[in-house]
Amino acid sequence: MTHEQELEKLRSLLERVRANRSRPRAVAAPTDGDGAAEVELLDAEDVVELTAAAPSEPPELEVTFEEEREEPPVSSRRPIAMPSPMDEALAGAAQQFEAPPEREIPVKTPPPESGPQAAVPVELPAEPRLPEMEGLREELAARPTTAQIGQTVELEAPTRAGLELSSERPRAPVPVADELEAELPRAQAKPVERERAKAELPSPEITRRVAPAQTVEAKAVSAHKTFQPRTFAELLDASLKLLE
Amino acid sequence: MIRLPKPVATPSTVLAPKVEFDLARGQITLSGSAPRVLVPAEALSLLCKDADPEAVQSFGRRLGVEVGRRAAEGLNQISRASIEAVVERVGAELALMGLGSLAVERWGRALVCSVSAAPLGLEADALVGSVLEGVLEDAFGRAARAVPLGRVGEEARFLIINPNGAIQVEKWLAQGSSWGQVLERLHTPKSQGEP
Repeated sequence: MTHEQELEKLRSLLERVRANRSRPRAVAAPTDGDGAAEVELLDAEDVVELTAAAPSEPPELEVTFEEEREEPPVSSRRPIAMPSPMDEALAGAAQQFEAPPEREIPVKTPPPESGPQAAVPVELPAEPRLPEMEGLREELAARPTTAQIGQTVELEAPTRAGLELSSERPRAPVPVADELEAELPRAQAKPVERERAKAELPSPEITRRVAPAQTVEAKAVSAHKTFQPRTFAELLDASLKLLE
Repeated sequence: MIRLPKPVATPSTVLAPKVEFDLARGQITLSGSAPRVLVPAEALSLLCKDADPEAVQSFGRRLGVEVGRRAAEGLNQISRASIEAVVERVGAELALMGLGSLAVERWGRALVCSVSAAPLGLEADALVGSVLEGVLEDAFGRAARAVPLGRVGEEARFLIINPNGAIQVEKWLAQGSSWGQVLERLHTPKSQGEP
């Protein structure tokens, strides 16, 4: 079939389509599930093979197809709902989360009426490892405490300057003697060995109270009998005896 | 040093005597006693100052004897009366005479009579002392001397002592010893043997 013949068939087909279009239809063609209109079958002769070699210059044809969809009649059957994208997503998720057959199902805690559950043996190490306290103590002793952290003061390097101490020392307050108070002997101060300090500083004047070597025994001789005259005459006689 | 105990002062209380002023006759009587003379204290003080000491002493003793007699009459067995009772009665009699308020102090064994608010003054202390001597002589029958120790303000103190001891005390006072020192020396053992 030549090129001119194919064009001729296409033109005749187009004319037939235009003619059928203008012609009214007697019976409404029932639509199938997908709603597509039934198309009139063509003869084998009318079939044009488009896969053949295309002409070098395609003819300029203006073909306008108005896509129409005929609404189903009221008496038609209820359309079958197509699977929605949501159903497809749920089905896919179910397939995705399906456990593989070879995966082991975890043991669930049996209900209380099923009895005590056997304890799972736990493997313990042969000997528990204790921390080394000796090393830990030394390490902790070397470390500053939390209270010392943040209070660290950097001291300056010691100098060779000598200490300047005042020779006058504040005097201790003199205790007030009371008749009813007796001072207990104080313990003597322990000698402090500071050879270097003694060599450089003047020796202080320390006055110590010498404790008595012997204890004093109290002797109760007699109570002083006060003169208590009962009468005026008694007092008068006592006074007259003075310088007698 | 001898510490003397604190003095025990016994103030006297004034009784309610019956003083009668007979203006028609010009006489003053005290509870039915003999007539009395109401004289200014200043005039009496000047008299005591210019008069002979023995005359003043005799005058004062005379007054004291009467006071002692009246006090002894008011007290039952005055020799056994307490200090408070004697001071109350004798002090009341002295107050009626206008010689001041009597109190008794005891410094250890020493008997000290104090008279406060005496209107006669320092010149009449010898007279008041003589009155006290007359009281003790008449009421208690003791020969005692009331040596003026001095004055502290308006309060005059008299030491009651035997006649020999009064001479020694007057010597100490003449030497400048205070009455406190005299009272202290009275209680020293060394002073006991001194005449």
